[in-house]
Amino acid sequence: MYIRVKRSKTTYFIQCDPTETTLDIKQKLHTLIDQPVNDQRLILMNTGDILEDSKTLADQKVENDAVVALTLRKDDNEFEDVNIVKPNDFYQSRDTDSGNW
Amino acid sequence: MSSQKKKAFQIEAFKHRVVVDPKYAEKTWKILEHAIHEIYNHNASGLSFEELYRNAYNMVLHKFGEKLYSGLVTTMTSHLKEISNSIEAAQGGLFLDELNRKWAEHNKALQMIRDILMYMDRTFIPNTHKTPVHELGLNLWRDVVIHSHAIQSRLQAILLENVRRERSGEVIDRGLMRSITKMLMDLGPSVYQDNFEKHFLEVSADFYRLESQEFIESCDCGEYLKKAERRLNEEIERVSHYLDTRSEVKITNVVETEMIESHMHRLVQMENSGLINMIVDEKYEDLGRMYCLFRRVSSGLVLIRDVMTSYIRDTGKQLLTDPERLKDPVDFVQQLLDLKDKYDKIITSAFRNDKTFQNALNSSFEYFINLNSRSPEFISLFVDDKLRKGLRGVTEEDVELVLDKVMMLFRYLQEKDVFEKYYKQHLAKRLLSGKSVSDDAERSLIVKLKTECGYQFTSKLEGMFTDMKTSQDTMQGFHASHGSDIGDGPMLSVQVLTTGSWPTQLITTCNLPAEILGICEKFRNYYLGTHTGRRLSWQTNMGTADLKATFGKGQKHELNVSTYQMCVLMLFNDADRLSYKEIEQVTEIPTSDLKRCLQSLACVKGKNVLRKEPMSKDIADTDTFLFNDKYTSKFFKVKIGTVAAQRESEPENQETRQRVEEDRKPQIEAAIVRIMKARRVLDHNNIVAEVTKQLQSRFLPNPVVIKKRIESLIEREFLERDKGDRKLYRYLA
Amino acid sequence: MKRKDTVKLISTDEMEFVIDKDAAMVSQTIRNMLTSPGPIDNWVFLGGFAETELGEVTFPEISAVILEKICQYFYWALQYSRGKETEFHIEPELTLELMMAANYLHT
Repeated sequence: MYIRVKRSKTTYFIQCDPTETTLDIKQKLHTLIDQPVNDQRLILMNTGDILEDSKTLADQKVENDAVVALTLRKDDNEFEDVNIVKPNDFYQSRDTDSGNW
Repeated sequence: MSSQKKKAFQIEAFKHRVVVDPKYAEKTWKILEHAIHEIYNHNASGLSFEELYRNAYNMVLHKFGEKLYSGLVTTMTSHLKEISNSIEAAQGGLFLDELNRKWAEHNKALQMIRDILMYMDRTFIPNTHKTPVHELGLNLWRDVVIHSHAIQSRLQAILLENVRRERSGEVIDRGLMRSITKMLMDLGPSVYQDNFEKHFLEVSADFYRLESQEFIESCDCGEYLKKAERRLNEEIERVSHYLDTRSEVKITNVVETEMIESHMHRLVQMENSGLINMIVDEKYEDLGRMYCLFRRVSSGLVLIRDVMTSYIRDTGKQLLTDPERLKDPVDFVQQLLDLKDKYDKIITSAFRNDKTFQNALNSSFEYFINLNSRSPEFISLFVDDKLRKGLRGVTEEDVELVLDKVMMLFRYLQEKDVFEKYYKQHLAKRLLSGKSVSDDAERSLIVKLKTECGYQFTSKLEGMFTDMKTSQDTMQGFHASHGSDIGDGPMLSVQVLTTGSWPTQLITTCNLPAEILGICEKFRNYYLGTHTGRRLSWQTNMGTADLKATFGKGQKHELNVSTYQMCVLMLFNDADRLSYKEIEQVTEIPTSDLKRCLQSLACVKGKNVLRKEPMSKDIADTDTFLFNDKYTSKFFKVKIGTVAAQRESEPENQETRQRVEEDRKPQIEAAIVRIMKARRVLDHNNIVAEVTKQLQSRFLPNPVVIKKRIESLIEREFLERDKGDRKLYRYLA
Repeated sequence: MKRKDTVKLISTDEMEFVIDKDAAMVSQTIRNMLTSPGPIDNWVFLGGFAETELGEVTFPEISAVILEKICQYFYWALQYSRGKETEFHIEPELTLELMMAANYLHT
């Protein structure tokens, strides 16, 4: 299966197995973005839950095509806030009534 | 993304950028044209694929496909013209190199161009039936570069020159050659053929025509074949390294025609080194090479086969008509076997066991073996020799080998019935004199003959063996019942022969000595006592006797003699000297037998227990014989019997032949009757054909004889002639 | 640094999508772009396009929403080819643009 990991303007499509852990995902991300796993935090967008390193994706109800937000540790050791840029999108420009989703 | 209520789906205007700018097409094309230039100048890394792809896509979408396509053709053509010039400018050896390099570059560029113009290739081109980009690129290359006058002729010349150099031993750049020929093939098989292959084959034909002429003048057959083989292999290797595989059969054809086919006859007939010499000298490697090479050429093998066959026939014929050779039948047959072995070996080792050669060999043997009418007799004598002594101490397997070889010769005989007659005679002698080396070997041969000819051929022969066994039993019985009576008298051993089974002999009797008559009578009574209704007659020409003789100084010897010889010698118990006429009168031995008998007793060195006056070689009616008390021999047992089978004398041979002819008559008649009974009506020619077919496994019937038999059958009212057609016969029930 | 087996697709509004090369090559066009001819015979290097060098492709005419949908489609196609047969859901509003993009990308 795969999940979409988003941060700011970038979406990473990551292939994975439901039995893999959060830590495994962070390893994969590490090879793409060069951030150590400790400095990564993953949040499941559906529920807002922070994903725990040792638990598996299946355990945490992460399904195929799920959107997961990525935040990084700041210099002051705290993690950033979730920041995902929405496409300036034709949903907004198309709908004469404002977006009802 | 789900919405609470579903909105009616609205169709919006097409959001794609609409073309407003009329110079749009020209602008877009310029971008692409520039890109193509950059690609050819190895500058693609500065270009964005996506951008170019999108531009081409848009042009096609907005109906400017035609402009794009023709622009492509023009641009590519002009680049190729430049490339063509640079190739032409290359000097000498660098020409091929430059051509190859530019070809590789063009291919790469073409691929990249094709990729960015993919949308046009997928949609516009199929719709307008134009040539796809890749193919277009190849065609342009072909037309502008390869078929440019300067390049075309130079290319061809250099390629052929390279081949020529390699043929004369130089090393050339094979990888480069490979790339070039591959290029030609990629442009289309006809390009390869017209620009290269056609000329390659022509030039090669000339080359080999010349070379083969040189070789044939200066080399002997074996050397020439080696060279031809080498060249052939070279060409095959050449193809595998840098030509198209389909050229292989074409170039090998050229070599085969020029080097082999043109000189076939001359090679085979070459003095001192041609086919016949190779055969005589057993040059298996050369023969094998000749076979492999000639096989490639139509009628090559036929030539070898014909020359070999006529040589075998001549050799065989010589062997069979050479009077010197024919004096020793055993040696003669051995020569035949050796000849067969020799050719078998050639066919197996050099000619790959080719069936057609085997057949030719067989038919040759069949031809010349039957040239001499005495072949059947000689083969039987050979067998006789082997079974008497030749196979002593030989292993069972080797015995089988020899017998199989004999059978092989037997099969070639047309007159198998003649062989049968002689074989029977010789076998009888062997059995009666107890001179057979191995009973198993005898039986083995009978079995082989039975397998070959059917049980009728061998049933009588088997009867002979049975008689021998039965006689043993009879003798046991006789001695058991009469043993005590004999005392000091002669020991009798009898073989009772059933008349039908044994070779017919004219009943010749002679007068047996008194000492013998007694015991013979005893046996006769004993036998007839247990077998009433039979008749016994003593075959005095077939028996043997062992005599104890004492000579002048008291030397004792045991003499093994024939019955006739015994009769003669016993006379000398009562007289020291006897004339020929006296001996003849008393013994009543037939003349020719008597003469032979006396000759062996008086005229053979070491066996002359009698002396003859006068001391001439031949026996005359007027000769006198004396007991030779001065006889000596270093052996105690002396064999004087003349029982061994021998080559018949001319008159004897005539006699046998006559008997064979007589025997054939009833067989022919039986065949005629059998055929007519089945067919009812048949014409003359067909009868002759059918009769021949039926009897050919035994002998070849003479049509004249068949005719005579038919007439005889007509007389005896088995057949009648048709009233209207004289050539038609009818069966009379 | 980016792994060699991924590519980055960039939409007109500069949103970035990092996907596996396998997935990207579901598009013939992208496949061609990325498998650009390399060095031949060790003495000629014609060089591929810019995209090949950087491993990124920009689509000035495709929006992020469509592009993301397309990426999802790529993964769905891969799963389907491996035997997992599910439906690929397309929101009706996206259909037209999606089809155009698909045509463009030869997917």
